Amino acid sequence: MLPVQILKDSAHEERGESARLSSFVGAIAIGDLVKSTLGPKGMDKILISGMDGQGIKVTNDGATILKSIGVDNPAAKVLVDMSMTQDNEVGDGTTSVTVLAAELLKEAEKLVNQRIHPQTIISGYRRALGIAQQALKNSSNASGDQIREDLLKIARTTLGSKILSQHKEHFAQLAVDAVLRLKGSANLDAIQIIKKLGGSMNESYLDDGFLLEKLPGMFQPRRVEKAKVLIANTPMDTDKVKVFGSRVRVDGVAKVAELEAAEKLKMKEKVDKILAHNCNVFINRQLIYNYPEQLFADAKVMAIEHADFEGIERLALVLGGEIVSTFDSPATAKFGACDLIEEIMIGEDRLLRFSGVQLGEACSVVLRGATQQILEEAERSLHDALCVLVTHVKEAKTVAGAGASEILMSAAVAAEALKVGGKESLAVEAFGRALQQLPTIICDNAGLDSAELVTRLRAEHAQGNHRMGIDIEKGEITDVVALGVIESYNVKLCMVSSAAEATEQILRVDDIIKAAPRQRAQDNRPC
Amino acid sequence: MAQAAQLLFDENGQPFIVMREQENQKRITGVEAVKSHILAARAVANTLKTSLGPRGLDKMLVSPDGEVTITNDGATIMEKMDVQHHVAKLMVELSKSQDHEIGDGTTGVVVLAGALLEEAEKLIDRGIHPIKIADGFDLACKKALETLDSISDRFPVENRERLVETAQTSLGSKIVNRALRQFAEIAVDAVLSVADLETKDVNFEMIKMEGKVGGRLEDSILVKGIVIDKTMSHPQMVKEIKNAKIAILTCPFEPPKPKTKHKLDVTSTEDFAALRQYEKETFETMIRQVKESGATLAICQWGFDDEANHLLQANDLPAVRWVGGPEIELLAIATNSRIVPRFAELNEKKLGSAGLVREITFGTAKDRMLSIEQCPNNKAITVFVRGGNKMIIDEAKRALHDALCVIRNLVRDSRIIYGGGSAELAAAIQVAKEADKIDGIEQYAFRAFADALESIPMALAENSGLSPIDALSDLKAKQIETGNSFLGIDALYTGTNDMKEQKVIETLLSKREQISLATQVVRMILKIDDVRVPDDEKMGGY
Repeated sequence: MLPVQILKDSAHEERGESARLSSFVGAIAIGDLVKSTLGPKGMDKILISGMDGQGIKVTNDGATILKSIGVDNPAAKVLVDMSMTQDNEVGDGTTSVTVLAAELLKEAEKLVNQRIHPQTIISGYRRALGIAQQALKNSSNASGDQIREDLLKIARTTLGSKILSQHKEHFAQLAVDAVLRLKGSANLDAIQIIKKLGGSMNESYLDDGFLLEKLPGMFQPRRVEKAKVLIANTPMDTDKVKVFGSRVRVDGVAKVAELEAAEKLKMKEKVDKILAHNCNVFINRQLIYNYPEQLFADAKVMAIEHADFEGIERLALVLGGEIVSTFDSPATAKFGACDLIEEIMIGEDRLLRFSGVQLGEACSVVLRGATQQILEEAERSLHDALCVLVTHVKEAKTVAGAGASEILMSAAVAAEALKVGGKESLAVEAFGRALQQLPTIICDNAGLDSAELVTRLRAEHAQGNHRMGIDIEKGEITDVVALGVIESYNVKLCMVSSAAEATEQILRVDDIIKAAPRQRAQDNRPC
Repeated sequence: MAQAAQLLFDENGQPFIVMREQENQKRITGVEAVKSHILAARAVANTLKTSLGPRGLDKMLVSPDGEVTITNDGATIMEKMDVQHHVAKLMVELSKSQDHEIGDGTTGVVVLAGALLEEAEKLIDRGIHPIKIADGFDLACKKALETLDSISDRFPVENRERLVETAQTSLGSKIVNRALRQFAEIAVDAVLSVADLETKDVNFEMIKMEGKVGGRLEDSILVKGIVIDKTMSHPQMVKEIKNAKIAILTCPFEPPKPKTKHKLDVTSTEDFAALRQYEKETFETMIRQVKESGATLAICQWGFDDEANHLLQANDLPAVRWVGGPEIELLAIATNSRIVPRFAELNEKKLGSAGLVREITFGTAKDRMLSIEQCPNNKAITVFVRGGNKMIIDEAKRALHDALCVIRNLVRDSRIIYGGGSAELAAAIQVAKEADKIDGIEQYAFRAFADALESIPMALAENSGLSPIDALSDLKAKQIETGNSFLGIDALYTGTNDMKEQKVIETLLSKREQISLATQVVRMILKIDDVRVPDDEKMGGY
């Protein structure tokens, strides 16, 4: 009998053991890839993107690394996806979540090899997750009054593993100040990060005004005090006729001139209307042509063109104005206001600075650094820190960092595992072992004797000293809470839950069916 | 093969061609064709077999663009499997039709069809004609359905608690079973709020499913109202409106576009000025008309001009743009409003109302959605699913859809049977008993049908890590001995085989449909004895 082909030509199917193997291998590879970036002594990765090797990134942010490598293995994709979600949800812990998921899968692989049904492993993991979450919750402390100190400590912990670690004190202050200005709202939009090449990183600063990378037109005032700002989104080039199907038809040169005059008049009227608002600063999202620009200059109004959409929205938020598109009712229009608008120099570039703004929420962070890569990495790190802080402000609970929480959970899970009967018990135990891997990897990355330290740490926790963690700098066990290494409860919780969720998803798979890939140009990305 | 027969000669000895391009076609006939089909169908069924039951595993499907789907929903797996074999495609259709008709049991139907074909192959090997087998299967199917009817139970649809239990059975095999109870309640509440118990009708279009990546599965909720993935058109419009009067418009806030083709020539400055005036007035009229109708929120299917957008804002009229067609309809139903195609048609009577309209924000990213709650017509609801990543959300949506279908079927027809393979086994016993009474070759087909039915509990036992033959023979003996047809496979190791006690409930409708659909397809496959496939498309596998 002839062979029967069921799937399309290049589609293929992997079943049972081989499917499981392929997803384990893929996921574990991803875990190993980002493993070395974990912890304060983790190393960075260089990512070369694009065809010509132009865009070079240096980063140790898990989400950024995973985003940039084109993975093909479906299980690896699940992990990448999960890391992205962690990034969106809480901003930090993207590496830890991937490493933890990979470790959980590694443990699961061992169990599968012992002929334990994946569903049994899953239910064991679930039970363990519940125990770990409970243990974490019990160990968390509400920040209460000393939220500022706690925020500072958290920021330091987060920044400690990033490129900013040399200046973590400086940046921790900066991030906390910025977040506290938000007054509890989680609107990160109000914090603007401006990167300027040159200078050293500790020249970065928080500007309590608002910076805009735009300049006023020629011959217009460079400095405005007590500014009354009209923020607009309106065409200031040629005002098109929007009525459908209209077009201009003229039968002589004279008519063209007339029409031109009419057009000019129209623009003039528009500018007059704007001026009738009695504002002294006009900011438009769209272009301002030279004719209206000149008119504004004549009226001594500062006119700024082409502030992009985000800029306009942020400006409106900061200055408390309204984005207007029609100018017929000057009485009802809401103006933005600030005390002073002036030009400042950062490095080589000139920027506009709005200071004394109404809404105290907004601020700008100016980052300085020697290379583009450093600046970008600094921005990512700062963004992570800001996200974590904002998350923490929402639910102000802290847990001990530096491996203490992981060991705490691991110990709790291991203790419970003894009470579970049946095969599930093995899975619960495995979950505990996987949790323990995180501090182990952090130690390994720092060149410390992980086996020694982690076991000693475990012993401390067994005696009830739940505040003990690893002091990476000194390479010993200390009370990390006293050391000030704490993390946000929410971030940690989210990390454990999503890692477990992704693991479960991958474990449930026993069959991989790949459709025939769509024909397309070759992908030259690395990996 | 019998290809020579295609060249015939007429009475004068002239050859004539019955079928052109013989050499370009692939062809198989007779028993060989049937067997090759059975092989293909079984291969598909084998893929699905491991997904069956509460301990079944998932399949990972990679689309042509490299996107990953993880699911254990039979219909989805089949749809994305990218099969090219024609009989395998029939199986895909089979699963789909079960999905359309019932919504649940899409895996079971394929596994059953595969098992039937496997049995049929054995009979063909013994020299029984495929048609005889097909006929025997048909008769046996009738008997099986009768048995199902006789062991079915009435279900108290009014009892919410029992409904939740049923939903739990359906959801138990999916990834959402970590939040089983919660999802089951969502499904039941969703169906009950849109169901019309008088006419026994459930309109699924009133249930909207939205998903947003982030959070946990446990954060999923049922919103009594509508959630749309849109925001206010102007960033500074109010984000929360209480007691909103909603105007739903399907005309853009732009100068009118007549349908007839026209050209407007501007030839003088007066024209130019007049045009400007007209444009301005149009915008103002539009806004005035909306405002005068008393609306406090405008929802528009189309876009806004910048100027119109600002005018709306200046007039304190929050608005939402680019809302999709189906969403507009749902909104109209929920808020009791009329969809208005022209501004001039707008009046107070056509407005809808909602108790609360607000923007919700998620995570650290700038994701926002608009939720419209406390609507006068509480029949329109949204199930809002959260989850760790996109794949989980998609899978959760599919699982919920299945559960919704189950509940709907119960509302339509309240008869139930018990799961865990108990019904199949009971039917198998009855069919086997009946077989002995039949004279003729169909008797063999009858027995084969009974054996095939047993494959479902067998697969369940296998997936649960039990020894399948032991478990099945045990169970069969028990069922015959006690006459209790509710005994099934104890897949979750709860210690009892009585499915009534375990509360594993399936709808009669679904099970009936599974058996009759599977039998139909098997009949169809058995009846094919000649296949031609054009070779030039390189589809060949023969």
